[in-house]
Amino acid sequence: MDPVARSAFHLALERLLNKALALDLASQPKLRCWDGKMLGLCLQPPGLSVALLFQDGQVRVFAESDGQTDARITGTPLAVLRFLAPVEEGSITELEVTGDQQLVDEFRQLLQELEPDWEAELAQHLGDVLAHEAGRRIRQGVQWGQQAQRTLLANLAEYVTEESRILPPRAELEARLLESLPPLEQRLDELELRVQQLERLLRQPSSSS
Amino acid sequence: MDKNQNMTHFGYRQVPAEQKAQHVAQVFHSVASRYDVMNDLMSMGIHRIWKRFTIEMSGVRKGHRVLDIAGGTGDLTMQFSRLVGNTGTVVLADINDSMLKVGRDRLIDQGFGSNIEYVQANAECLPFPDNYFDCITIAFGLRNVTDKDKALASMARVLKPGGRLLVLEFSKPDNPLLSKAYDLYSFTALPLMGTLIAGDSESYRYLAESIRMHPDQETLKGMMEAAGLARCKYYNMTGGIVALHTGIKA
Repeated sequence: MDPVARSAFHLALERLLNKALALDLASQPKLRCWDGKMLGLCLQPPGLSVALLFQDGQVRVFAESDGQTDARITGTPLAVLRFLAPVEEGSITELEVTGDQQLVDEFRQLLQELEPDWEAELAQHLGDVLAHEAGRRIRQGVQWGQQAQRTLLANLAEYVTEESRILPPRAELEARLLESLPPLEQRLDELELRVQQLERLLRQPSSSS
Repeated sequence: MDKNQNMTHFGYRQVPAEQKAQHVAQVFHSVASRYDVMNDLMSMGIHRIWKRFTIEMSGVRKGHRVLDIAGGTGDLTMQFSRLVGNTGTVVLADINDSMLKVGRDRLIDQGFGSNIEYVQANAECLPFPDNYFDCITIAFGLRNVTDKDKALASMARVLKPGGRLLVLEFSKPDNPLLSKAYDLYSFTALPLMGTLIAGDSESYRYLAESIRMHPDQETLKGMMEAAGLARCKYYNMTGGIVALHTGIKA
């Protein structure tokens, strides 16, 4: 990546992280505990690596170079996002984590518990009343969006399994699987016996010799 | 520098080598008060990203001792001061007392101070012991130095073994079209902005001329190697308009 684009990305990420952290007072003591520590994030693909340096209650974002970091998380962008995002349950098996495991766990916990008080920030620009009203509407909008997403997924699942029958319902699929397993198991046993028979025949001396 | 006749360039003009420092000093006395505004205007703010990349490549950490030569108004010193913390030191050095005063006032006004020292110094004969600094930077300063080889050797001397020298400087664009557009911008827009904002077009004409007289990427890399630095390399930025050269003292 071009050095200017890369540094601009680091600067934007650093400002976003520090803004969010500054708006959550509970995060400050945790950040200060990691003073001087460095966490590497490596996204493969596209091969983008950044190092987060924790210093004086702030995060500084740098290009990562080998051997600098105390801990390193490597994975696909989706896996890293799922691992660090507050709502998703990420699986450690999708990622490679090396170095200081405690730092990784605590950083993950910090992000998952992060609750920036955006309303307070907005109030500085719009005033308390307008900021509260805007915050209320944004929260309603987010709730509506989440509800709409859940409903849409449920309706879609019902359509493809129950109405169009493109896919079988989960219960039917499991029942059929259970039905077909015993015969499959029996045939596998038969096959194994047959293989053993053939092996025995091969070991017997030939009658013609 | 032309050693036979003891003449050197000052922009496109040839001047006696011993007078170049005075000419350069005059330029910077003139622009010091408007230096930051002009930097933002001329580079459209991108100089902040170039400097940020320099900081990233410096590898400076808590407790390090850093020298920011030609540090001017203290952009890099400010960032280094945060990085080295209370256990480290940053020396802001500039040959020009006007620039040093503007830089010192700005840093003190913004609450920096405990780990910063201010030194008026000539890059060609740095007043520091051998093997003293973990990192040395010179940002947009080397082209104004009369004897660049001597300055690089002086920097290599005060750098610790394993320490890093970073030279951020205007360079040669790698694309001919960009080069034409850049020339047009440099020799028309820059002096005009200088007149309107800083009331001084000559200083900004010198800026454009001095950039053209500065060694290109490969030449500067060779000069750093000749000064005794190892693993020298450069990173072109914004199409080669600016390049960051790095080298390590073996």
